[in-house]
Amino acid sequence: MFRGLAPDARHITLEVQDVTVDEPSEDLALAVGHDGPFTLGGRAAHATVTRAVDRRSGGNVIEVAVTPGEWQTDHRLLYPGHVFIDDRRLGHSMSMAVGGPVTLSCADPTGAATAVTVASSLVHVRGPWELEIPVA
Amino acid sequence: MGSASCALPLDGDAVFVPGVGFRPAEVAIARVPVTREHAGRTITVERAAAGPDGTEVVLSDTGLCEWDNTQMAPWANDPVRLRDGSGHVFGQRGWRGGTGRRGSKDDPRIQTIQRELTLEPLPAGTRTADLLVGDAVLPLEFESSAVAGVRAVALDVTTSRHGVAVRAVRIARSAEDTAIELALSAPDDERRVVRAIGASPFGGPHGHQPPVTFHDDAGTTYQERQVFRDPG
Repeated sequence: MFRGLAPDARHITLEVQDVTVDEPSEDLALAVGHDGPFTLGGRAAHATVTRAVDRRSGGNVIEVAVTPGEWQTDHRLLYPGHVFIDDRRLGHSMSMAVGGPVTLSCADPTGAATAVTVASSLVHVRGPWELEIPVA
Repeated sequence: MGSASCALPLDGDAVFVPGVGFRPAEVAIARVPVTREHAGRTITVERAAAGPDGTEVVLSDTGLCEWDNTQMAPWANDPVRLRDGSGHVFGQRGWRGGTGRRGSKDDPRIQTIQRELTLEPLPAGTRTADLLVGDAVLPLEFESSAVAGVRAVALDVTTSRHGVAVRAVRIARSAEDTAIELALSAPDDERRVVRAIGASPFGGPHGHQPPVTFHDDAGTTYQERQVFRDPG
């Protein structure tokens, strides 16, 4: 939603700068302690995998902090769409802060998991998409 | 076809209702928010739109509950129904946005359940109804969307890039606001799903500029000031 258009406007040019697309990928195991690049769906990013304690539940979790990859022809990997240990149906939580990595967290009830699996790619796609719209 | 915003199949007149989105003109909109305290919880109806195909409801439900990563708060599945003035009860018909939750920064025991659901349609012309959330009763008053909204005009303008199609579907103009409905899709690869305009489905943190702007024929630039994500 935008502010009101000038009454005499007859035509606008709308620009969408960028979008985020969920793309399928292979499953990729990342070991606890991993701190480096990884490649998912053919695109690279950086991940740090650590054990942690969930602030709310006090339970064991494994956190995957992801820094987006470099642009490759108007595409870059933001972060995996899914993180799990054994059961891909279980959800994960996510936290993010401006300027910081996206942290994906999944429960590790036994506290003994040695790796997590990441799957699917949230890919940032750069435009722009331009639409010429008559508004008269 | 992957899609971030399935354009609503609106036949006939449509309106844009601030806080709700584009809807058929015959849809009635509840005056919101409506909040009630119940059994230690705070329940708020954030949106309700009654149409011939059902009544969309968005509500938040906040209370104390030990956080458990593997399950929602116990009240997350309380049945939600509508009761009209004749006492007839209308049940839940389906899920639109599903159920989400968020924790409080101040107290980890406080959690808010956000529910988006669709109930069976109310009789045409219904102006008052009670929303029943478990045992809680939240009275709703509906008004015509023609009163609450701005008439929309259909568009059909599409452009594609990198396999992602962006379509302008509708526009609604008032002196104060311009609302444009966009539908995004990946028409050539059904495995790809367009999650969001911008750099993240959740709004950050990688955004660098307003993801949508437009300029008019006088060269004036307009930046978006509010975004509605409507799963349709």
